Amino acid sequence: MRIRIAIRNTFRNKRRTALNVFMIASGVASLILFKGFSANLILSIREGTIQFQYGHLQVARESLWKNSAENPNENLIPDYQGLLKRIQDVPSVKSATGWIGFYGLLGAKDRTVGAQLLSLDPVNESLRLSNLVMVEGKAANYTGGQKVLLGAGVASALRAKVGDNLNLLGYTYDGLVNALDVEVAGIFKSGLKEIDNVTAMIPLEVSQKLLDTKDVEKFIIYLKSTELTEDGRRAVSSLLDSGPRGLEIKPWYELAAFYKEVRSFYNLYDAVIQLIILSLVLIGILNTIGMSVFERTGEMGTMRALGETQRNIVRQFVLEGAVLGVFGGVVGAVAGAVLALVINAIDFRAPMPGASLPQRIQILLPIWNFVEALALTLAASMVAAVIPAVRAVKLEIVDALRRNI
Amino acid sequence: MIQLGEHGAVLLQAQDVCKTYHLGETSVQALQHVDLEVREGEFLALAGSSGSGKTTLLNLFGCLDRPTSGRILVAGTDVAKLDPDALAEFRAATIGFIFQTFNLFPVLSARENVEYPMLLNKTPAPEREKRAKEALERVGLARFLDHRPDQLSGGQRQRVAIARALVKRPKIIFADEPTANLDKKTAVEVLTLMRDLNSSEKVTFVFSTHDSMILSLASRIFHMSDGRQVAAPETPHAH
Repeated sequence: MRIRIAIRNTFRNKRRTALNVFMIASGVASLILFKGFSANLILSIREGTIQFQYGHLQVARESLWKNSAENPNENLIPDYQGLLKRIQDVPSVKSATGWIGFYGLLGAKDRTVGAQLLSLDPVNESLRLSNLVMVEGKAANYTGGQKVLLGAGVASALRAKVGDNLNLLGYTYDGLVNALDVEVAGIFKSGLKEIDNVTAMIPLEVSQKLLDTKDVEKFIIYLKSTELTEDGRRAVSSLLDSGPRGLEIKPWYELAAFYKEVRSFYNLYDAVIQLIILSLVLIGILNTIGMSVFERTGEMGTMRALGETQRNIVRQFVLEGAVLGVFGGVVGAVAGAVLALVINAIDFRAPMPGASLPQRIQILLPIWNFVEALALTLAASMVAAVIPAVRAVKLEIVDALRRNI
Repeated sequence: MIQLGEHGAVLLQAQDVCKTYHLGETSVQALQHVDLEVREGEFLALAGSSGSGKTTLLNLFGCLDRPTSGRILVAGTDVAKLDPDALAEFRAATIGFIFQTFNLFPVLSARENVEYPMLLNKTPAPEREKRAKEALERVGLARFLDHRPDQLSGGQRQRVAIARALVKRPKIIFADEPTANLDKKTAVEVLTLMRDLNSSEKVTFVFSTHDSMILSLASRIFHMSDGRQVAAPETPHAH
C-alpha cells in the first residue's frame, strides 16, 4: 500500500512530475549516450592499439623483454618455424607472424638517412598495413620482392619517391656490414610524426636476408577477438615449452602503456562528466521535489498525528523519490537507447587517438551502462527527496498541522 | 448537565498545566494552570472563543505537544516520559483525531484513508480492507468506498475522517472544531453521529467548538477563556 501511495503522490501534480521526469530522463539519457560514446572510444583505442601496434600477444626471449642481452644474437628465437606453426594452429589464434626490428641506413643517391626498420607482414598483418595512410603509392604494391614502405619524414629527408631504388645498409647479427637494394613501394603516415620521421617497414624475409639470419626476435600473434586474450595466452604459453628455452609471452595490455594511460585518463574524465550530469539532475529536481515536500508539510502533520514516526515519513518521501527516479530512469533509458541507435545509424567519423584513420562514432549500449545510469539517477532522486523531507519532518506537529487549509 | 455517574475510570488528566508559546520577543500564555479530568465514555466539549486555549489543551491531551509545566496523563501514562517514537506508537494505538479541515489524504480513496491508521499498526491487508469497509458503513458511506476526498462533500469527508479515527478502536478520539467547516445541518448530523458512536462503540470523545448549538449535544462542557477554565456563560444552553 505504501508503494501505491508513493506512486499516486508522485503523479499528483502532473506538470511538476513531468518536469522532474524530463530532468531525470535527460540525465539518464545523457549518461547512457556519454558512457556509450566513451566506452566505444576506449574500445576503439584498445582495438587500434592491438591491431596496429602490438597484436594481442607477443612472444620473445626474456632477454629482449628485459633488454638484458649482451649480444643481440641472444634475443633471437632459433628454429622458430615449428613453434610458430603450432601457435598458428591454436584455435583462438587468427594469425601469427615473426618479427624483427633493427636500425639501418637508407641511402638514395647523395643522401643517407638512419631509420628504424620494422617487420610488417603484407599478408598476416594486413590490418596494420591498412592503417598506414599511403600518401604515395599503394599498400597493394607492398608484396613480393625487396620492397620498403617509408615514413613520410624519412621519404622527404631522402627526397625519395615511389619506385625509387634505395640502398639499405645494416649490421648482421654477426657484426658484419651488409647491404641490399630495396624498392620504395609506398610512403605512409602513421598519424604520429615522430614515427613517420624515423620508421620504415620491410617484409620479414628482407630483414632476415640483410641481417643474415633465419631467426626472428618476436612472434606477433593476433587472436580472433580481444575477449580471447586469456584463452590465447594460456594456449600459447603451454606451447612455449616445446620451443626454444627462455621464451616469455606478453599480452597486449602489458605492452600498451599508451592505451593504459588513455584509459585511466578517460576513466577520470568519465567520472567528472558523470558527476556534472548527476549534479545537474540533483539540482534540477531538488527544487521541484522540495516544493512538493513543502506543500505537504500539513499532510506530514496529519501522518504524525495518526501515529506515523518521523523516520517512516522520511521513508515514504524517499520512496516517492524512488518512484520518480524509476519512472524518469525508464523514460531516459528508452530515449537514450533510441538516440544512440539514431547516432549509430549515421556514418559519422572522427579522428581518434591511437588510430590514424578517422574512426566511426558509435554509441555502445552495454547493459551495464543502463544499470549504472539508472542506479545513479535513482540515488540522485532519492537524495533529492530525503533532504527536504528530513527538514520538513523536524517541524513540530502542531505547527505542521496548521499548514492544512 | 454533568453526568459523571454513568462514566468509567479516569482516562485523561491535566494537572496544573501551563503552556507558553514564544513568538519572537513576545510570549503568549495559551494555558494557565488548567486542571481537568475526563472519564471513559464521556462526550466532552471544550467551549470557548478562539484563542481561549481549547486547541492547545486538545493538542496536549493528543500528545501532539508538550506542556511548559504541569502533567498530562493519558490512560495512566505520563506522556512527558515518552520519546518521539514511543509517542507516535502511543498515538497510533490509543488516540484518534478528527480535524477541522478533515485532513484526508487527497490521493487515497475513502477506504484507503480509513485503512491508513491500520497500516501503521501493521494490520494485515485483508483485515484492513474489511475493517475500513465496516467503519465506512458505520458512518453511512457504504456507497462511497472508492471515492477520493475531492469527490465527496464536506460532511462526507468529515464522516470519512470519523471512520478513520474510529477504525483502530482507540480509547479516545479528539476532535478540534470538527464542525467549523460544515453548514449547520451537516454539523448537527456529524455531531449526532459522533454522539451515537460514543454510546454504541464506548469511545470517549473530547471535542472543541464555539458553536452553542453543537455544545448542546455534549455530555459535559468545559468552558475556557484566556487559557483558563471559567464558569459557564450566563445564558444557559438548551439541552
